[in-house]
Amino acid sequence: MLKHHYKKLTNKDRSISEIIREIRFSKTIIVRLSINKLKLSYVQTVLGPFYHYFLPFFQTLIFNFLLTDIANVDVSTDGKYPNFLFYFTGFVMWNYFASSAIQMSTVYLEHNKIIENIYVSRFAFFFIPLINNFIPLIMGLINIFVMLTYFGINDGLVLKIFYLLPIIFLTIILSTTLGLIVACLSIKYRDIIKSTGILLQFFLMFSGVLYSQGQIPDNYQLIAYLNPFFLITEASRWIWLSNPFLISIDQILSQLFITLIFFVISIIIFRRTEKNIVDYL
Amino acid sequence: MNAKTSKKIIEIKNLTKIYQLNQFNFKSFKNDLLKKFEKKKVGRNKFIKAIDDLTLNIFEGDKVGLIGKNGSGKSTLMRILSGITKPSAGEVILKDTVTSALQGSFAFQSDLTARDNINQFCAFKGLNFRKTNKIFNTIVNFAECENFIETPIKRFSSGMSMKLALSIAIHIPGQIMIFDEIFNYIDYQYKEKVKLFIKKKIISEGKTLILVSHDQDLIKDLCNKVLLLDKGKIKFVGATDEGFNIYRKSSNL
Repeated sequence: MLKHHYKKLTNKDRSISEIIREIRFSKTIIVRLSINKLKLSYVQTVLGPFYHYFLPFFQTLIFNFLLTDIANVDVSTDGKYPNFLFYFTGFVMWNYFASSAIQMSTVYLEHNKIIENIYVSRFAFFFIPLINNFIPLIMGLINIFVMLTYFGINDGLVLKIFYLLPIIFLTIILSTTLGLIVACLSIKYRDIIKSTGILLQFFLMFSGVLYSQGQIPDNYQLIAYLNPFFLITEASRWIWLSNPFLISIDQILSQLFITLIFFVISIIIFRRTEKNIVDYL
Repeated sequence: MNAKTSKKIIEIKNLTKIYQLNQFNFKSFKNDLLKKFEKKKVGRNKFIKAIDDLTLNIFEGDKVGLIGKNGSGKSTLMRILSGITKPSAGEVILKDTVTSALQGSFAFQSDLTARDNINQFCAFKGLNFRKTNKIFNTIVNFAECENFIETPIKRFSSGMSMKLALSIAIHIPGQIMIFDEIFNYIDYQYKEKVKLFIKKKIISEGKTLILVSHDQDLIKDLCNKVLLLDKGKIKFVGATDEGFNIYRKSSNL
């Protein structure tokens, strides 16, 4: 028998502590949903999760061909490593962010059958993309390590690799922020969900994945100053490729502050909308 | 509603549930905006009160049959009690754990196997891996689907998936059992088996039952009182025979 249970159902927004408590009790749900989503993702596929092993390669090859061979863009590698690696290190983090955000933005629509038939913690659904996208992320990181070893440029990597943890954490916060805002706002009016792909493509151009902060002209430096994703790409390249780390402390603080502001906004939107989700699905 | 010695297990106070009738589109968006900026002006969206200022207490051990015409608010009330949808006004206090099976497709994911769906559903009801393993075989045996446990639900017939859904619902721990039109699609034999199980469980464990059905015999068999709803309001609460008489008269039957 389950332990004694008292529940009050009203129209009021729940407090943050209630939501956190519910997430703590939803551990089994999150694990089950993530495992089942993984199974569903690879059902009737030949390559299974290995699809993620090849995808970033092809994606980077195309961008590398367009930017290096056709547009002749110089990413200032000083001949230490091929341009391909510069783009690849950026795309591994970008793909985790973009895939998680896109998948999160549709979690309610994707799980509408569950949501309409049984009460499940609404926030639990947002963990599924974050957990499942760890597979391509880890595969990408292993790929980078293998390539760096091949090119013999992994000096000091063992010490710097621990800096990846805060970088991954920041990526999780950013993708959750975007995913939450789009998912919650698009339940009633689905216009936003339709524009997420274009929004992300636009954001990619200003994210530091395709160029480093040092290449941005002075009058456009504000883009890098305010965009938290520059911290992720610049730090990743410093960790993996020993690129110079040009981000100042005040830039880091401004990027973290902006991340925090948007994260708080996303939580407020989630609190305001969660009670009506099932009525609008 | 029950013997005064019994403990209130569900308290419903001034419960109201309003649904928007018209589609969410440019017109409704314009109306939403108008409502925000012209606060005195009432929005031009169309609404319906599925539950209208309903107040009710249900006591421990009650076996309540919920009856009424289509659209009287039965399923909405069940969805609120199950926590699926929130009230528009008023409140519901649940003083114990709820297990529910609502009409239709249940929360199965059709591409997943029966095993995965059972595990997932048990997790939704708060059961961890150990507790799920404990009742897993009982659920499978009761649903009579031992040979199809690794088969995706999409290959199950409607009856088979409903049998599995019922088996899960009645084996998951919960003092308040909420069932809405659960016997659709299933054969007579299995219906009798479930009825017997529910009866035994209610008596031996002192559970509270709320059952929605249009089947008069089923309600008379399992419930000791009925709640008749009409346009979201209570029309009658009391003995089953009297409740059905009023229901028949109001339906001109």
